[in-house]
Amino acid sequence: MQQVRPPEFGEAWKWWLPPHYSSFGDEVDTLFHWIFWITMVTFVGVELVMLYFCFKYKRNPARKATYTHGSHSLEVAWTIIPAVILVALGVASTKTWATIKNPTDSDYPQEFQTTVKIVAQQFAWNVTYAGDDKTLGTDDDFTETNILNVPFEPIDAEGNATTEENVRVMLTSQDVIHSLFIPVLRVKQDAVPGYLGNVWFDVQRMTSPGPDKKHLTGDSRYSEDGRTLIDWEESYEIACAELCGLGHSQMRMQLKAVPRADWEAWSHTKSAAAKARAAAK
Amino acid sequence: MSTTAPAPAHADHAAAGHGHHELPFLRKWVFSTDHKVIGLQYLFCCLFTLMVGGLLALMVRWQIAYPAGAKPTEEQVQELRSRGLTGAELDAELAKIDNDRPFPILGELLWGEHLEPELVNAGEVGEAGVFGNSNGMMPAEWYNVAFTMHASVMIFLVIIPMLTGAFGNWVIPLQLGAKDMAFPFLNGLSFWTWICAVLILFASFFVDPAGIGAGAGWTSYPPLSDVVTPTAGPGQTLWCIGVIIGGTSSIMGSMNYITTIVNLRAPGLSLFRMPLTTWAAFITSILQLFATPVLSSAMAMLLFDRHMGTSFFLPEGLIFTGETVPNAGGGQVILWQHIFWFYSHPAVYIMILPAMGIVSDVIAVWSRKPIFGYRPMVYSMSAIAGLGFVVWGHHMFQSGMNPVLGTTFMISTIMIALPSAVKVFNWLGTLWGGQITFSPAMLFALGFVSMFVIGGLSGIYMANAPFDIFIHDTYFIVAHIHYVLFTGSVMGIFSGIYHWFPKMFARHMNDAWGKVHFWLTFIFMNGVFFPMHIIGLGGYPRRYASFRGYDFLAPYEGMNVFMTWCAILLGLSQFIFLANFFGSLLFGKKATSDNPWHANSLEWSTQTPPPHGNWIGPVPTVYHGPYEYSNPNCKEDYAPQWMPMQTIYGGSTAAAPAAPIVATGGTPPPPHPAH
Amino acid sequence: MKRMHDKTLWMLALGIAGVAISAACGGGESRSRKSIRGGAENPTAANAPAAGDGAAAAQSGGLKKVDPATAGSITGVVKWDGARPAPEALDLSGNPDCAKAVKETIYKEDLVVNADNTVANALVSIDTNDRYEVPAEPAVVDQVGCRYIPHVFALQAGQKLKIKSSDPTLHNVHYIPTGDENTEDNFAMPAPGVRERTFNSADWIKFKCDVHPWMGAWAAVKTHPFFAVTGTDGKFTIANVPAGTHTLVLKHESLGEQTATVTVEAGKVATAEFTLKK
Ligand code: HEM
Ligand SMILES: [Cu+2]
Ligand SMILES: [Cu+2]
Ligand SMILES: [Cu+2]
Repeated sequence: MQQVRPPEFGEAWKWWLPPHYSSFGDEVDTLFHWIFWITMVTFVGVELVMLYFCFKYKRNPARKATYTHGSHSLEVAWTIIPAVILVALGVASTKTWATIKNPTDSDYPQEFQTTVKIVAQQFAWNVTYAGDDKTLGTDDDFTETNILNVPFEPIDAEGNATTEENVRVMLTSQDVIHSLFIPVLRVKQDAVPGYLGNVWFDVQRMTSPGPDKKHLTGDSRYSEDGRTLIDWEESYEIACAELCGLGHSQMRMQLKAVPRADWEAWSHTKSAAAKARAAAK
Repeated sequence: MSTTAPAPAHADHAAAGHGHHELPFLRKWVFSTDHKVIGLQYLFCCLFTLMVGGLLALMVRWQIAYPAGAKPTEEQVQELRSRGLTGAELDAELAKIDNDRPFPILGELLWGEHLEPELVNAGEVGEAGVFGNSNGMMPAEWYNVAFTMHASVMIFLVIIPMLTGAFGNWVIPLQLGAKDMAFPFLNGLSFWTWICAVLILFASFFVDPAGIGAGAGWTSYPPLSDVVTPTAGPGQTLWCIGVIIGGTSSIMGSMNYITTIVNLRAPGLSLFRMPLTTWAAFITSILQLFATPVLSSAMAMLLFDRHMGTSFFLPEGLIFTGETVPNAGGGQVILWQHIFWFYSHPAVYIMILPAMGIVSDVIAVWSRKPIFGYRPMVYSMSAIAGLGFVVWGHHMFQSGMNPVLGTTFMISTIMIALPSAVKVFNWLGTLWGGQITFSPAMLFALGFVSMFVIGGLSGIYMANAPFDIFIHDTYFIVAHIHYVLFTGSVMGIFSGIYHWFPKMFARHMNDAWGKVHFWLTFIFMNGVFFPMHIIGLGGYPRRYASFRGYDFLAPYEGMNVFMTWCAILLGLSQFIFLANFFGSLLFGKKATSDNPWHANSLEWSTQTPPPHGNWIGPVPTVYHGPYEYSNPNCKEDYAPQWMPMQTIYGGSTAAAPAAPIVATGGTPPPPHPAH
Repeated sequence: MKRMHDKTLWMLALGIAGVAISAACGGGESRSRKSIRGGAENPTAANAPAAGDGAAAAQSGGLKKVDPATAGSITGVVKWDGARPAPEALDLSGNPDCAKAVKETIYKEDLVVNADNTVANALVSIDTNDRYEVPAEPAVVDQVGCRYIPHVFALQAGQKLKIKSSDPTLHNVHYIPTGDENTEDNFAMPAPGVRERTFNSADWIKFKCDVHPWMGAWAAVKTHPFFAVTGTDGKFTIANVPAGTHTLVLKHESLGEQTATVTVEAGKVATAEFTLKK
């Protein structure tokens, strides 16, 4: 397996949103595209009208300014139309919001295949894995610093997940507020001391190459012709997004997405070592 | 609603303030109770604090573009390679390369001498600066202080006092036809209280022996701001005190404006005949009066937590660097955010509404048109103010607040974009069919409208809770803030200064230089703030002292450098304004008319500059609304509020406003009706 | 009436400013664990040293000086009793910068037992509060490859400490005194560089980097120069010790303290041995 970091944030992505690898990433980006086009049209419209008026109604003594105090019907129109658009946008976003932040309240997902606990501190992330018994708070738990290692969710060429691999993170902090920001998964959640937050995500990875709509030039997970998927260990950057002190900008973590079997093996080794250490004490 | 001011108040004031004795200098210019002097005091002080805030901004930008630890560039490596160097030799040469750039001029003064890498490797330490020694480069802990104080200065010491203190004070009584504020003494007190806040906030830089001021952000989220640590020491404490005192000044000011507007309007000046600047000030003051005490109480709780052992914001079991924090327990971290944003969301409207008012007046005057939809304008401002109290949760979408609340706040926030949109459409409506003159004041007002659109629209991205997940706490937010506050409020301020300058100082500012100032400002501000949207979309987090070490931030280095240089040029362009402002103050063309722009509102009816007591003799009477421009029944294209329509129908208005300035009199007021 | 207003305005303004500033600087009961920076710094020679028992010590400017003619030295070894605990390797893959900077595997350092069953990083010193002359050359601690080197070190009260970073990545230096006299500090070093600090009282100070949680060091601040830290052979040597009987103190960051008594004769080498176990 190649150990290369995909340059998904590289130059090719500089002007736009980075690619997304979570199942809800697509929904979030779709919302962005809707807002983008609605606001762009409004923006260009307003600016053009304004420029037009500026040229057309430049001071000209030959003309008299139009005397009007307004128009009732226009006021109604330009209140109601944006209101309808905006409310529709709001309503359309509620489902995505619930899916991401309040999964119990929506139909998805129902099950979490992996659960980890993250305790943030100035300026590092302590990630506790449940170990062999899959239960947090037991002797075979092990803790890694700044490494969030999870199994990925394989998806086929059509973009359908072949198995579910949902990760649940119990998130808190021991000192100040931090924020877990995983750009490629469209995840952000504050880690708040005194409060155990819930975050879930999945990391989707193509297992066979195909006409993938996510594929863009510059995504070096693919061969040059875009036909072959290169197999490598994927590793993404996680940042702290809430000011937490002087090391704020250096509080980072690596997200590694590996095949389930590899992950089990890794987890088992670590867990066994932790258990041995606990027994020795 | 009362349309006439209670007569006794006028009589009283006239008796008290117009004995026509010369006031001693201190009383007249320093500890003054005259609203115009106080307004100008605010104006001059704010120009100063604006420079301080601007300097801090440049330091912040410099750090983002050139954080310490720059590696040798490709070209430098190539150059060494081409000299035939390889292996250890090459490494040795590379180690000598110094790409770190201290902040120009001030860097070494503040953070010590900058030494060559060779000397550093040998363990040498240069001469220390004002804030200790970190090789001339801004340390990360100071970067936090820099952006915290930049925001605090700009918000609490520039924009709010400039809009409510300077313009509010100077313009409101004149537009109302009041001889002064309702409580002139309180007005002076409010100014001097604010000066205390300025001094205290500035002192926060210096009270810590290691040179660390307040560095928890202007939002000061606990526990970072709450637990006393080496990086949140006396500076943070002083910051809280300064903000409370600044808030006290705001409360005094807002009570005064509200009382004045309710009670001291000229005869005939009903609420719906008030110019929009005054309307905006009225609504802003109400917002301030209700919101500011909330902020002050939050700050007080924070102070108690820091120094008196309470635990409002600290939960049990906090561990700072391996040790349990004593006294922590039972508090709620998120409580602070609720209280803080309950104030601070209304506060962002406190920072924009007055500018919207100013811009409305400027656009009406310079396009010779009645405001399109005067009442919708007033209603939308009121709607913004009302809704402003129920949207605070949009700052907390990712805070761990109940996600169901997130949905609610998403909808209310989306709704608040509506009145903003209505205002923009009405400004366009006002331009439509106008006679537009592109004076500097008008250019800044048009700049305001065109740029506020960007700020308002970017608000919609963030109001959308699911998408806000990605852009929250990134540069996208920074872009939004600056499009509303810099290209919005600050342009509104410039517009107001150019517009009222002749009335304030009886001289004109230079038009040509004003236009140069506008265009440079307009271009560079977009150069600074627009790319922030782009890096925000790339996920660039805000408040990062350095992007070094992140693969996903590396591509933005070039854009960061570009923004920084635009910021420097933007800063330099403001010297054109300063030169114009102070030059015109001393040598500008003398104002030959009391109403040079042929405007309708009452401030233009008195002599220039307005005397103590604003009008010599009784105050004018108001006969109609403030936006009677280009009324087809009038010969002139304006109809001053203080002239009855009948007298100007078909007649000329020129007689009244254009009267020359006479040393003793000024414009003779129209006969006072009934009482 | 108007005059009075003038005065009230003045006094209120000054009053508010005064109250605010005194509240900020005076402070109340503060929440900090230790006194935060800004507490009084003790001048080096504040406590006049009591007349020493070291017969050979000469006084100079209130500070003692060792006369080499009457001094001897102490050497010894710190042994480990039991099976050698396996060193625990650190996984740096979460911190790519460090992973890049570090060539070989690095291990946890809270207990380092050498291959010959001796203990490294143990501080051995003489138990005395007498104040001795402070060397002019500074002590140095460096941050290299995301470790503090040395991991345990000692310096004298009033002696300059150069805190170096040789790494191109950001470290923050957070030192936390366990005593009450010195003050805590925390600052960032984003690039290779040097900072200087001085501690004025005897102390046992924890240094740590919060960005790289494994990065830690301990500094012993002593009023005298009679200390040594064991290395990869577990040996220590304290030279130039005044003749007489001394209490030797061993301090280890995770195993606590032990003491032993040694008698030093002029020009001779005294020996001592410690044994540590779990
Ligand atoms: C058009 C309507 C507006 C909408 C829908 C809107 C929406 C928002 C939202 C949702 C946020 C929070 C973003 C986040 O932290 O994730 C925000 C932040 C902010 N907004 Fe607005 N906004 C609007 C207008 C304004 C105006 C007029 C101002 C000021 C004059 C303003 C000033 C700010 C500031 C200063 C922040 C950042 C606060 C901070 O975190 O430091 N906004 N806005
Ligand atoms: Cu953090
Ligand atoms: Cu808001
Ligand atoms: Cu470090």
